[in-house]
Amino acid sequence: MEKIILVRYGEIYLKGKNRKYFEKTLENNIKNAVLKHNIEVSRIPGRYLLTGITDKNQSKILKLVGKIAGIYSYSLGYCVNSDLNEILNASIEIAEYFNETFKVVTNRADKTFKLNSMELSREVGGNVLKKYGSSLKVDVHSPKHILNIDIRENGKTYIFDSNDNYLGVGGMPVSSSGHGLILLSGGIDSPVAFYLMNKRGVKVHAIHFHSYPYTSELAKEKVLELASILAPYNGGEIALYLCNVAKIQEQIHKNCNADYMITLLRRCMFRISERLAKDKQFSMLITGENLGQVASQTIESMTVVENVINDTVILRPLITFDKTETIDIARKIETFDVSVRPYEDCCTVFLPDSPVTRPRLEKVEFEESKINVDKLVNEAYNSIEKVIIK
Amino acid sequence: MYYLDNAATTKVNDKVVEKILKYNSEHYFNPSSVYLPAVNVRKDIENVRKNILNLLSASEHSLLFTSSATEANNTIFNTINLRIGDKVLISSSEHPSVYNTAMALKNKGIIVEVIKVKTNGQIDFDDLKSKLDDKVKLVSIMFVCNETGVIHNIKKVVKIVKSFNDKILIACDGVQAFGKLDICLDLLDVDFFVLSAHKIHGPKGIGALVYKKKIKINPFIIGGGQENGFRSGTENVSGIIGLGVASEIAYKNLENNYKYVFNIKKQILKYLNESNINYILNGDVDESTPYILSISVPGIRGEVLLHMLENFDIYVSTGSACSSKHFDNRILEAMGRNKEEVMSSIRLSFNAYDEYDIEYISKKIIETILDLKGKIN
Repeated sequence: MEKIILVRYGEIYLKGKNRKYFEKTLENNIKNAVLKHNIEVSRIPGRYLLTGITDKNQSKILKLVGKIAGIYSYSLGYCVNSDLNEILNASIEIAEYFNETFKVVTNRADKTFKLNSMELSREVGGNVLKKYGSSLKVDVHSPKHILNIDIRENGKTYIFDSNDNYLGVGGMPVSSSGHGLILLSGGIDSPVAFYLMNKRGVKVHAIHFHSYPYTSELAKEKVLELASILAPYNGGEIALYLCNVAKIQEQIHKNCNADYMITLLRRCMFRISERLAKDKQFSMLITGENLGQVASQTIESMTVVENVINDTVILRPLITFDKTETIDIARKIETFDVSVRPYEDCCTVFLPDSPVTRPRLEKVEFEESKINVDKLVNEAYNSIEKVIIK
Repeated sequence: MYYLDNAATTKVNDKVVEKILKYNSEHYFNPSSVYLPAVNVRKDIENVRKNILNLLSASEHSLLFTSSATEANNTIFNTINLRIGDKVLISSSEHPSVYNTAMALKNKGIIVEVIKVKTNGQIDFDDLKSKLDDKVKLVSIMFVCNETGVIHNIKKVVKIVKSFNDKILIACDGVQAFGKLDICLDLLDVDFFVLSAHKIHGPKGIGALVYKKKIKINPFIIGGGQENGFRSGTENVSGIIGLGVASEIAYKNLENNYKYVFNIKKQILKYLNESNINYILNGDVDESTPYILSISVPGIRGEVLLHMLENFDIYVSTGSACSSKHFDNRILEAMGRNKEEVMSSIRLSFNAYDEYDIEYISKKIIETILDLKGKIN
């Protein structure tokens, strides 16, 4: 009896002619994720099978699989040959750790197996009771454990305890929907936006704007840590681009109406981001913006900022989220505790007391004309550092 | 490199390193074992204990080695048998290992009150007197404030408290004073005194709680019964030895060291005064330790100044967090500093063994402040 993880995909089922492409992409993503751990990944009809699972590596592998987009659910179980004796022995071994109640559910895809589903369930149930009957009962309505027996056409049978079945990320395999560049701040929202785009099959790259020495080195460290938490969702690694905008802030501060600091700065950030996206052939920009959350996230602000973008789509997966909804996901993907560390992403030295919340384009452009945008953006762009986070 | 963050930690003295190595590679025996080499280690530990008590002129005290000053402070608050309704007084300038430990007692029904400090950081004695009552069981005031360098008048605190009720226990967190100021515990008459090795060129991970022999404390960490049952866990032998050597060196050079750092602080202040920078000195010069200099330069965020100085290989610290959302420096706020003054504070802390190019350091600080003023204001 061999320990295995069985992986089931969800939405890929809905695909028609190009289903093979998605299946292959997901298979590659799984292989990449478990590459270091000597795990073999094979495709069986409608599923993937991971072998090489040991007591020592199983929790690590389960955790990794739980972060791969495109997987609907996965189970830790055992694989035996489709032979009645092997199935009975394995079932008895698995049931040793059952408590209180159980039932057996059989799925017989291999119709050549000599017992039908009901007969096998009865046989296994009877044998389990014979062994553990003093402490275990059958309950067909709400059992504590369901022993799933899955007899496949390939001559193998997979046996699981329902308690070892987990829900995956869902969605589509990473890369199947193209590449995008996210503006990653280090706050709560952008890592969640990152994850949600992964879930829809986007391979995400990130740009982080900082203004050292006005912001702390620790703020940068925080973003690196967030990236390393997110990397497994993104197919194992993230290209993180670090861009210093301190000079831009200094110039805005010196020459422009202070209340426009955020609007003008964001326009520069979007210019830099679009340029990077084009250079690297990323097909979309992604932000963690959320309607009405802060001054820079009103429709007027977004419109004025987006105005600098030429022809790249900006996706804002959190636009309608309540903060609590975002936080729930941030906790689930384990970015929350890092995000709330008290280092600012963009410096507050220059933060105006009353930033404009509904900027008008003409006014913004007038303020912007007081600085040499092209030169500043160029300088910032040329200073970008790239880090690969695994 | 100019390392001006010695209140955070110090470089370990070479002689200390040498000894630590020796006690890890040669005299590595468990002091609880009974064969001769182990017994010798036990003796060495006891010698350190005795020597430190001597250096502190503490004839009525015992000494317990702990993993840190934080552990020592925690031990005080958690072992002196406080009951529901009892009151504990601490000063508003205490280190988090006292402040937060005291505040945690509130959950156990203990009343915790905070004694105010004046704008110069000194204890407000009227406030102390007004808070003393029959419920007070413990008063904890630090010797030297780690943020500002202010030296508290512990003698006066003890006099006021003991003359009100001599059964009230007095604790003194002496981390920034030990090895830097002349301390006579027999004279001061505090019940508890806390010290740490890594602030005086000793290793991290070792501190001590000095307490009056007559006081009954309950074991805080229970196990194999080391430290006479008061603090179980195999002794950090090399740490203890390191603390011993560092203490000896510190007290041998106490006076010269004091003069050396006094001059540094004086010179930097002179340069600052000669510049046209407006700054606020946190803590009067003649009532604070020369080892620490804390200033606020309104308009310049301390953390930005810190990073700018880093570019010149000058390492200072700031007490306030970087974010406006987390504006937080309890101690400076207690001294009546406003938000801007708190955000703009930096702390320079010296040691007596490094050579400082005071002119270079002062000029870089002044230049950077002026540069930032030009950019920001």
